[in-house]
Amino acid sequence: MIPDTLRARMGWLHAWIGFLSGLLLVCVFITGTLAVFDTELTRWLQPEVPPTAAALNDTALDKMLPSVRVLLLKGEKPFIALPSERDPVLRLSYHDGHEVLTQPFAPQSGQQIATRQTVGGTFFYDLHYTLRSGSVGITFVTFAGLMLLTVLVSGVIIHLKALIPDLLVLRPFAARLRAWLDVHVLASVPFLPFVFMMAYTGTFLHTRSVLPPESYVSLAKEMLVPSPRKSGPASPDREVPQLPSLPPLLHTAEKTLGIGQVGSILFLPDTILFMRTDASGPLRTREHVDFSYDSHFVRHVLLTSPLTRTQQVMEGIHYIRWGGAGMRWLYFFSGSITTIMIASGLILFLMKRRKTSGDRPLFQLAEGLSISVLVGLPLACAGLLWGNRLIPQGYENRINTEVLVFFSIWTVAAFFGFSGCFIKKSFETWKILLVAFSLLTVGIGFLDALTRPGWQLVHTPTVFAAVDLIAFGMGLISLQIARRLS
Amino acid sequence: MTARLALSFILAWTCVHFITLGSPRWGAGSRHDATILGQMIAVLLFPALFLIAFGNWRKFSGPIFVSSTGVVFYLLSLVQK
Repeated sequence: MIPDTLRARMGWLHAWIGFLSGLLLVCVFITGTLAVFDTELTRWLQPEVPPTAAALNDTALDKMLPSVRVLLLKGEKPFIALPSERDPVLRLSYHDGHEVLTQPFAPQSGQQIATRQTVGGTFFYDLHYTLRSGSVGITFVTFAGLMLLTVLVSGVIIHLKALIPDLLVLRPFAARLRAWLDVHVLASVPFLPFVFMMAYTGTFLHTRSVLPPESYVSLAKEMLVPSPRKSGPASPDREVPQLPSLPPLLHTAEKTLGIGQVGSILFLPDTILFMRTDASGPLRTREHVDFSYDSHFVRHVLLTSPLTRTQQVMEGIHYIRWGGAGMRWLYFFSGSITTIMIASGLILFLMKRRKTSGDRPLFQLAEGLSISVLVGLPLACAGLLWGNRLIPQGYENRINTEVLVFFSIWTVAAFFGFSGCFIKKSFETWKILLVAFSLLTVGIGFLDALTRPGWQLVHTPTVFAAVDLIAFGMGLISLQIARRLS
Repeated sequence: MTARLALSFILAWTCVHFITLGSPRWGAGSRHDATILGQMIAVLLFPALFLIAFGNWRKFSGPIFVSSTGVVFYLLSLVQK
């Protein structure tokens, strides 16, 4: 019987809401942590693109126009990302409903760089906030964000008395339950500001999906009324106006936004938008200067009310596109520790109930789910990197195949996890999957060496070295965890 | 505990729903700005209201407090700008 005190009630809520939402949140945080380096991951996934490139030449932009036109004819809304500190090449991109697909172009000549097609790093970004399920996924993730805020506050209430002393306690060789609790507290307390900030800003970004500014009754009525049919598929004889020369428009836009402040050029059916780069500052203003297809200035859009500014700051600190490499590493590190916080919470929940409920099917289901998200998802992420390098460059439908590799590995790992738990071999299952993850991640450096054109042992630090070394480190940590499991 | 949890959740959710529902009416500035303000407040308040309703069960003080807050925000949503 649980004593009816505030601390006990908060403990019960923290455990149950934490576990149920934690299963989803751990996926959100793993993919979010990877998405901090989405641009860099795209570069790793397209090793044919040179790590450095010459500065942008005006004529290069116009040489991309035929490719832009092809996408416009398909009914897409293409955009050109201009070279930046993170990515030195020009990229022609469009959103296919899931991820941003890109074709790199040389910034000096405007020639397309022959490279493999890939889902790119934005795959993790899409998984992070939509679970690849569009608005339904956004609703789930936003709801999980609200639950995370609740769990965080209840956790603070539980540990309020010993918040500071707990920071100085780590007993890795104590009883396992105690050691995991220390890990959970140690991973939580110092990073509370980060987690609160990410949970609040992330939830706020899509609050409308769970808390709309209209009543649920009227929304339900709208859903019941059949909506008029949308126009059919993109017509093959779509008319696209003649595209204007881009450099003069770029220079005009720069007079308003500032030299070097244009980050991308978006082509809409009626207008061309020159967007301010997200890297320009902490406010994600989405400021843009618009032109018509006959090169006339249309409008300059910048929302400046205090509330919009606040919203822009919140988006800016969540996306951290304005931060330098150091700031992104800080986010990556904090995101990793937060993932450990949630993971250790899930493990603690299972450990506390193993003795009393270990034989129950619901417990086995819970452990199977935990294995699927804690080991299955990272295994699938590593598998995506392997798939990217092993699928032949000219393979037809390459992008979908990469996605298929990712979800196949995750499905197999989940099936293996559930099977292991239901036949009461859960420790062996954890071990086997952790070792499999170690092998895949430790091998990524070797895979990179064997499959990257122009690989050399000693070179300036690049995204390739960073990805290889991080993967190697994760592999070693995972191996150590597997070794200590008993 | 589960019934308490469900009741607390429903009360807190209803309350923050009234905030986002009513903010275009009582919030400052344009409808867009007022909606943003309502959403900011709703996300901030939901965990607090949920935990107050769930944690303070003696004499139903938590649920009563959250219900009262909900009634206030419902009344505010009836305000005509």
